[in-house]
This record gives sequence, structure tokens and C-alpha cells, in this order.
Amino acid sequence: MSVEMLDENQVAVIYPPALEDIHQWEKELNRIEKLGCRFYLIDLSLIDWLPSSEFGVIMWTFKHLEESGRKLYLLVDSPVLFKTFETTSLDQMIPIFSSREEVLAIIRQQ
Amino acid sequence: MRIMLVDDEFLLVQGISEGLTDNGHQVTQAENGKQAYQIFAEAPESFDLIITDIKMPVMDGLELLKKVHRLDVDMPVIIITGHGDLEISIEALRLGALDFMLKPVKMKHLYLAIAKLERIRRFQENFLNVLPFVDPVRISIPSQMILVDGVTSWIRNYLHPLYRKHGISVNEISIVVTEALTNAIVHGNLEIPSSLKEESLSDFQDLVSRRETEFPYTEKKVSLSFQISPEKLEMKFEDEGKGFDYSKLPNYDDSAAMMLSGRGLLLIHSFVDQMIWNEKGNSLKIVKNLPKKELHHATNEEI
Repeated sequence: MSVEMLDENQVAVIYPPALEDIHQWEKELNRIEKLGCRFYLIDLSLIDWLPSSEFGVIMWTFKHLEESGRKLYLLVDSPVLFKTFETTSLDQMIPIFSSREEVLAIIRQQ
Repeated sequence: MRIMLVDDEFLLVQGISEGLTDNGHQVTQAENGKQAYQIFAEAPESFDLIITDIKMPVMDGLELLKKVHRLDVDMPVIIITGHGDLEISIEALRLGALDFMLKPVKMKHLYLAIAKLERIRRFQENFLNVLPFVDPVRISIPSQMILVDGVTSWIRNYLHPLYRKHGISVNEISIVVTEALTNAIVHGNLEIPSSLKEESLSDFQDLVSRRETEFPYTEKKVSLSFQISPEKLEMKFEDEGKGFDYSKLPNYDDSAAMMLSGRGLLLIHSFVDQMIWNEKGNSLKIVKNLPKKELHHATNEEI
């Protein structure tokens, strides 16, 4: 999995190949957490659709980060993916953006 | 062919447009990427090819290419570039452009590219013409989650020509297949309740992995059969589990409740026209109507 660290490790932009294996995903999050990251942006801008199992992992990630005061954002570009986030109401829980510049600007205001 | 021609240089557009129209193609013109995208997004299935300049005001050709492929990953896009734009041309090919042509465009190069596309389109049309005469296709797999992606990819490739004719999104079909198979394997054959997922996702995943290799779960199969008629796509998912009382499912309009015990079914419901369970609750028939879409013709205002 590729991770791009920005703003002196405050922001992690994550490019996940798949969000299926919760154990592997937790290991990756712990690795990033040790760098002192506060904001996590999962870049799904090149992903056309996700199965609900991966939505489960995203929800788990949101709750996991929230418990320790960290924040999760999603970058989404696909209309089908947007619709699935709306259908499952996940868009009301997790901030979703279609522009990387926009979400980074909002993160940097905090 | 139905071709969208995008350029802010009036003379170039007129020249190419005349050549294409004289050869029997329908040409829709747009002045820049933004206008082209607005027209395209309204009815992506109404176009067979996009020819676009790279350097344009408002939205350039690369941005247009990216946005068009978000809606239809296979939409052929030919990029027109000037001399000295080699890096941009390479970037366009990397982003999935079919070809690039240097200005001034030689019409014979364009005609060759179009002829090749027409052959592909004819092949796809012929494929669709045969589908009503094909017996239901049936795939039967053991209860292993690793096979779900493979079946989804297989169906996706098989059904892809439907997109051109009916505007059916292969991404939506992919979600439907993935969710229905996952339900049949995990909740049907492996008999794992969705409530466990809410308690502990890692325990849930561990139990799925364990049961996939344990008797009697290893003996149980999930089957998917599908058939296409000119009016509809029907898919049937069957498992060998105990079934469930589907009348106890929350209302699909109650997304909060469905998120707890039926997120996958909620997604399926949002993309299909009918979901029909058998009495036992271990067989789900899904119907997706195939509308014959009206072709979109750009108005003068749009151009």
C-alpha cells in the first residue's frame, strides 16, 4: 500500500489497493499512527466502485480514528461510488470530497 | 459513427467536421472540454468516439479525457496535439486515449482509426444480437470469498456490450454481483450472521476464513445463473444454506437499519428493478430492465 505523508507527517494520503483484510489494514494504520499523523485521507479517486465489505472497513477505520481524536476523509470521483456512499448514508458520517486541493485546504485550516 | 468533436479553433473543427459528415458520420461539436463533458455526461451511450484538442480554455483535453473515462472507461478518445506536445501526448495515452494525431490532422489517419473502431462496434453489436438465443449461463463456485472478485470480473466483461446499447453501468452490475455472491457465501452457506460484523470486524473475517476450509461448509456451493433478453437482464443467486426470513429485513428506505443488517442488500436494491426471494430465502432473483435509450442530440444552445 502506498502512503504519501504531507505537512510534516500531519496528513497521510493513503492509496489503498483493497480494503479487505482488516488485520493487514490495522497494521498499516498503526505504522502511519507512529509517525504522528492526525489526518487521514483515503484517495479513492481512481476507484470506480467498492463492495460493501470494504465499506465496513472504512466505517471501522472512521470509528477507530475518531476514538483517538484523529480524522478520516475520503477522496471520491466516481459517480457510482458517490451513489453507494449516499445509499448507505456513509456520506453523512465521513466527509467526502472530489477535489484533493479542496480537502487538503480544509484539513490545513484545522 | 456518432462523434463528438471538441476544439476551440473554428476552422479546424469545420474542416474535420465536413470530412466526417461527408462520410456519413454524425458530428456533435463543442468548443471546450467543459461544454463537451456536459453534453457527454447527459447521454454517454449516445457517442461512439470523442476527438478532442489538448489545449483549450475552461477545461483542456486531458481533463476531459479523465472525466469521460469516469463515466465510460471504454469510450474511445483521440487527442489532437501540436508539434512539441510529445509529453502531453504520452500522458494522454497513459490516461487511456486511443490515439493521438498531430496538427494539421491528416484525414486518412482519422478514417483509419474510425474504421478500426467500427469493426469493434460491429463485433459488439453482433455479440448482443446473439444473447437472446443463449441459454442461461450458470456459474457454480465453492464458498470461498476469493472467488467473488473473479466471478464479478467475468460477468463484467461478458456484459460490457450492454452498456453501449442500454446504458447499463458495468460498475453497478459489479456491485450487484459482488454483494449477492457475498451474501450467499457468508450468510447463506457459511451461516455467519451479519451482527458479528458489527461486534468485531476482525472476528467476523477470521470466522469467514476458517469456515471456508471447514466441513461441511466446504461441500456447499453458490450458483449464479443469468440470462439476457431484449427487455431485461435476470440473475439468480442460489446458496445451499438454511435460508432466512427475508420478511424480517428492515425497510429499504431505512438506510440506518439496513446498514446494520443488510448493507449489501441495500446496495443491490438501489441498482436493480426487482429482487425476488424464494420461500426459503436461499435463492434471490434479480431483474434489471434494459431501457432502449433515446439518442441525445445536442441543441444549438449546448453547442
